[in-house]
Amino acid sequence: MNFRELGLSAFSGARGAVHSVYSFFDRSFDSIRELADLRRQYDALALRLQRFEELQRDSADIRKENFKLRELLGFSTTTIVKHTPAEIIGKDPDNLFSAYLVNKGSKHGLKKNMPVIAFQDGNQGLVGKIVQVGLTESLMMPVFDGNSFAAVRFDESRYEGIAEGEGSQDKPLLVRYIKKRAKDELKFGDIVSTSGLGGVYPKDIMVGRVSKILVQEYQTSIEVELEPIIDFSRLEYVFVIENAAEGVANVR
Amino acid sequence: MFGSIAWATVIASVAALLQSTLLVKFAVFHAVPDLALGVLVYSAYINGTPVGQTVGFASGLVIDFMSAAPLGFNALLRTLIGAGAGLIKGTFFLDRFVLPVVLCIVATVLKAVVVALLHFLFAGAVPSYDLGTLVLPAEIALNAITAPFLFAFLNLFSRALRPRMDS
Repeated sequence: MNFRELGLSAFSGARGAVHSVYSFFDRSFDSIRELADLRRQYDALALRLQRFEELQRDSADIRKENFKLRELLGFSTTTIVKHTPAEIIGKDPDNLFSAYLVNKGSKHGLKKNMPVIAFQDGNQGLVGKIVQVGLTESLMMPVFDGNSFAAVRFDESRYEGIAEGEGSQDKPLLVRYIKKRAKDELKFGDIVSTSGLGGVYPKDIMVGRVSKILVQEYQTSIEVELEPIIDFSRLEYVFVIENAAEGVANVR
Repeated sequence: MFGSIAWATVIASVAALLQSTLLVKFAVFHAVPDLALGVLVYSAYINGTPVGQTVGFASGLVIDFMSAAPLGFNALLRTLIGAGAGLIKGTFFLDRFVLPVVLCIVATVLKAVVVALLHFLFAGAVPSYDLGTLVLPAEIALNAITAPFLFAFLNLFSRALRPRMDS
């Protein structure tokens, strides 16, 4: 453990404690409102469950068929990346930096450069990567940070590029170094995912949707603006996963 | 002198802790008030340059540990601000409202200028305030609004924070 990690570890417990006290009061007030919401959601979910039970019967047949086809193609049926769930308990104390503080550290197996993902609105999206690890807390650099770079690929056209942040969660991500011939094949709303190149992020994690295509005649490549898949203003829980270099663990 | 340095550093560290955990939930345009800077300015203004720069260095180092900033970034930044605030020690009467507001606004602007200079010197390796966003104006406004309350709060600990006759 280096000097910097020692420093982060020294303040690990204190920030966690402040967050716990705040959360206790926050949750107590929220719980009253949540009770009413829960009742309403329970009724809606009971109805949905009934529909899902019907769908499950169809889905079981499709899964069986899919399993056989994948086996024939030589693919593994399901690859699940080893992950550690974590809660965002704070942010960088300095307004200049956009790092998030998560409540897991080296004690829980986290290491520097581990990718961080989250599930939101049914989508699995890239959040960022771990940049500093303390004993029980870590700092995570989000994809919108000015120092964040990720190798990406357009899901439809398969062109590659480098997605970088512009320093603010209100600004779009910028994908650079896309071949100029791609301009006729890119469309607004296209999904962009990690390509797996570079050894940090595993492939096929959604990063964003194309919101603007910037073509300059004098440039040799084109640039694309992305609207991130993850809404960072609503982000509470994340998953820290093994990085691409360490591979994925097949569970079946 | 050692006591006032230690107390000011502890209070600035607690302020940074609150900025990182509680105040981020009430951020305005993604900016939170820099209470640690206010504590530093108060301590430097009433104690002078030696205490100001020492508190600036120590509290900056603590913030560097809590932050994704390069180690030493805040230590350098706050040492300069502490030294600057200490240079004008006792020049003006420290009232309850006007001087705290002015000191905190000037310190925040000075912080932005030093950050821009470091950004230029280190060829972008250190971020600077994006003038296209409202983060800097929001931070200046929040620091100005919280300054009178922060200084009034720190006055409660004036015995620990002010220089003693025997030191």
